[in-house]
Amino acid sequence: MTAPWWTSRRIRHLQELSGAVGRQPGEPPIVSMGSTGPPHIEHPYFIRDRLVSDGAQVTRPSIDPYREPVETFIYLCEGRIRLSMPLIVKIRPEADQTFVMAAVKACYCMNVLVEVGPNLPEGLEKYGEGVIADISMMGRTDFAAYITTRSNICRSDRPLFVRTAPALSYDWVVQATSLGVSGIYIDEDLAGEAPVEVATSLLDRELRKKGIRNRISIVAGGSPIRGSDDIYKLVALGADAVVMSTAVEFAVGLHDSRPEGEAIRERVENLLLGIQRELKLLAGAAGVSNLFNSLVGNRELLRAVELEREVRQQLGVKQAGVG
Amino acid sequence: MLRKAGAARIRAEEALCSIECVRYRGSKYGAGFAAYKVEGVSEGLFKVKAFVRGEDALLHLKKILSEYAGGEIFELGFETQGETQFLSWTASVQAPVHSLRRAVDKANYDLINSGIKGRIYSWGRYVEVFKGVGYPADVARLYGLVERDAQADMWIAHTRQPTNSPGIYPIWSHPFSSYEWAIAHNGDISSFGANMEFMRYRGVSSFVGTDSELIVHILDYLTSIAGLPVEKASLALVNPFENTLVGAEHSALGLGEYIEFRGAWLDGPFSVVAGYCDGEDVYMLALADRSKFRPLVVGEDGARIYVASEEAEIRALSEDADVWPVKPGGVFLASMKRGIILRGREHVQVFYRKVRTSPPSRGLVIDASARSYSQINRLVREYFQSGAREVTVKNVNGHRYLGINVPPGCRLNIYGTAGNCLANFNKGGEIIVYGSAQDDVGDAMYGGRVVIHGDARDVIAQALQGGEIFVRGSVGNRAGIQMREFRDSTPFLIIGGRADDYLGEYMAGGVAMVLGIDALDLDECLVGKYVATGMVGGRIYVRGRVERWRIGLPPPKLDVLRYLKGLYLEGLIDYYTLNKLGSTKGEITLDDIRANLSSEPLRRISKLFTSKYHKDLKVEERRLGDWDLKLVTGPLRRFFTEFGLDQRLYQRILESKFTIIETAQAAAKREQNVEAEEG
Repeated sequence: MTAPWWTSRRIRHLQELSGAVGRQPGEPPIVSMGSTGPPHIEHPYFIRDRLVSDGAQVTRPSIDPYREPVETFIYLCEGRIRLSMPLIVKIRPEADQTFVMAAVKACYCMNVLVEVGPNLPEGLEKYGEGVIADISMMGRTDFAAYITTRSNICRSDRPLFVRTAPALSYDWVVQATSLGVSGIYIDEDLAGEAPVEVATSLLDRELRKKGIRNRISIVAGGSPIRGSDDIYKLVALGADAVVMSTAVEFAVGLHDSRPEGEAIRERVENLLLGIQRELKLLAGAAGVSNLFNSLVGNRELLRAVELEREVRQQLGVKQAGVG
Repeated sequence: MLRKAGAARIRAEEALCSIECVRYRGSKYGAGFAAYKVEGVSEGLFKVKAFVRGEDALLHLKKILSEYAGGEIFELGFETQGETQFLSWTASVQAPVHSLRRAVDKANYDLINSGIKGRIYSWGRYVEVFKGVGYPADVARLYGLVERDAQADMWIAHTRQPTNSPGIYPIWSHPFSSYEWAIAHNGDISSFGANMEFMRYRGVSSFVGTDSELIVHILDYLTSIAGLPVEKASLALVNPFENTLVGAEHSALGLGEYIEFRGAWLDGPFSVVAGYCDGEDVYMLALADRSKFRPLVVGEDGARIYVASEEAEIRALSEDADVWPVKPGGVFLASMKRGIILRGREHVQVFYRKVRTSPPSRGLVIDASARSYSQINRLVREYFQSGAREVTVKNVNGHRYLGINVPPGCRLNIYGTAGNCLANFNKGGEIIVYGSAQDDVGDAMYGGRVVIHGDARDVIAQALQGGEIFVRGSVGNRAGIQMREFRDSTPFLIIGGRADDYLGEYMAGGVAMVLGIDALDLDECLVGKYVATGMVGGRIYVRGRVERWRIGLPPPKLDVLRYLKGLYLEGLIDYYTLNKLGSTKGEITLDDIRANLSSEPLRRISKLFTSKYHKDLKVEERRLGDWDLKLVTGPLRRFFTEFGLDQRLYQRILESKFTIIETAQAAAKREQNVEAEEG
């Protein structure tokens, strides 16, 4: 049963980006002004569906990323990990080996981290520097970073992320960081007490208050992340990188056309390239030329549509049309 | 403007005269001045200045100051009088800086949140701000700056055209100040929200809501609290590109520091001029954004150093000053005692020109001083209508829109600094400038000639579609963008010096040439970055070598290297190729990739370099061939004649190697035609 937010339009768009359908893989389509998205045209499912981008204007012009640089790189964990864009691809444990092989290779080439389960196929160890792995896999090869839980924080030569459910309070984080944790992973797939948008924003502000924001990385997301718009909004709310999973499987047409390994790899690469270009277009439309410095936590670039005051305050986002 | 050690202090009247030059850039919604004095200041005594409205606000302010600042407060009373709601109240405060800092923040927080009741807007020992609602002349009068002949080591002056805050209260006027920093800012930064998040938890809890105020807080925080040297903080504040932080030969800033203070750096349009005093010396800082979305020039003469939005502001005070623009993403820093520390660009003496030619005393001469551009243009029109073929305008200083009404076959001579939008839509007239021209020369011009003996600034020859524009000196950013041509009309832009970034951006036709005639013995690329991005037609000739990565928009080198490593891990390229490309100087280009990879890995990695909007460019470094000579000889000869340059120099230029840029499509078509003719 597919979750209701995976509308056919969404899936079609991802598949066009990947090249599973259509003729222009990796190319964002040209769109006009106006919106075909939520909350007014499509049904809103998440808080992020009620957030819109506050675009550039005459005194702060937009940037055309096809002619001018828009830097999408992100550094995690005080510069120990560099990503070409704020994205981590999570491979679900039940994914088949062909898909895992192809996705790991594609993510490596496109310089985004890939999160794998404990069943990494043989022969992929050499891609370790592009992989964020479960703590149980420590010692198997040299991975970029590890993921653990609050109750299992241990010493590690590589950056350590704590996976946590979206919450309303992160008072434990300072202590965790003193034990050597260098990132928090808010997993939207874990049932929590808050929506991922609220949790991300609260954690970002919490770390800022404690003066450790630029030492501790925040990654957030999970299977309900549908594309560059979701990524852009979570980054503006404070995430350094956003985790995407099911979207990749939909994009490559895994469930419809059963593509073989090379085709999957090519499609994942195209998808990532397309997402990167969309992020550049989104940032460019807001007059932003650098995501790492200028977009992360930049709530000023978002506006809320029909969100109640309390949520707006938690997010730190202004109401659309006001100020 | 900053005086040099040994020179006389600068009078308020001069600061006012300079800023009034660009009155048209401002409005009645805010202006101000900041004055720095390093000597003759009572040791350790802060001058606290606040806008207040109402007795309650003042009482509260005094209460907070005495509670939080510790130390002693000597009240000086109000320095402005009655008409406005807000009055400027001042006091001398003797207190430790950290407790005064807390007091200021607390007072400002309370005053803003009680319905904008007031604001401490200046609290330095060496800096004092004078600002209000009105034009600069109004604000100067409000404080009696000229009447009492106020003098300073450095003045910053600002006139404001508000865009994002109303400007009806003086709290929104520039300069903004914190501790010993004061800034004036032109622009609208897109990083504002990220910068707010950065500062919010670093001891600043009250903001008037403008990006400009935020910049002064960031500068103060980085230098006074985080302890970064002024030079380093400035170089970082302009948000350097990643390739200047990682893997660059000389990096002013480490990646570690870049990350540590991430969120502090500025994005989007800005020109910033800032002042600072450490008690020993007075510093003047100027920052330009990486896209150079706002104008910024600096100047220097024997006695002073200047920073301004327009050259006219500098010329209003100094005919002698050498003037040059700060480069995109550039930093200019000077101090009273040390002189210029960072020039804002390289090889200033080689590329930027000062023109001193006296206007003729005979013929039809209009004196521009004390005349507005519209009055001048009316006179010019009348003269031409009554049959004159040549008209001269002297003492031009920043007058806009000149040369827009010169009929074909007629000539307008301009002596001085031509203001913005010179010769826009020029149809056939000849416009000669004995001096420099500011931004936006020859926009959409479709015939005639413009000859500039000095330099020109940003966006010259935009959408130029006919005629020729010659500049003896250098031009700024985005020269020749959108140039186009028609069947029998090929426009020429010839630049004697150099050009900054985005030369020929989305160029569609015509010819742009960059000669570097004063730099023949200098091994220096004559253009900046992103040359010919989005170019679809026309030709660009740049004397000497232009590295391939400067042309177009290559993907980040680190991303390309990662992809190459992926290809290596898949066994598609060998270790030698990986290493060879890895040691490329500058960015890795598609040409580098094509030269080194076989078809399958090339096909795969090409996606990083091309898109559906990609047009292949043909770039050659060679001497001019017959075809080129046929195209450029006429205009080039006229260029040399016009500027009285000698024949040997002309020959030397003709014999030089050029980097020639055109679309691959145009090149193929031309070669086909040549073959057809020969066949």
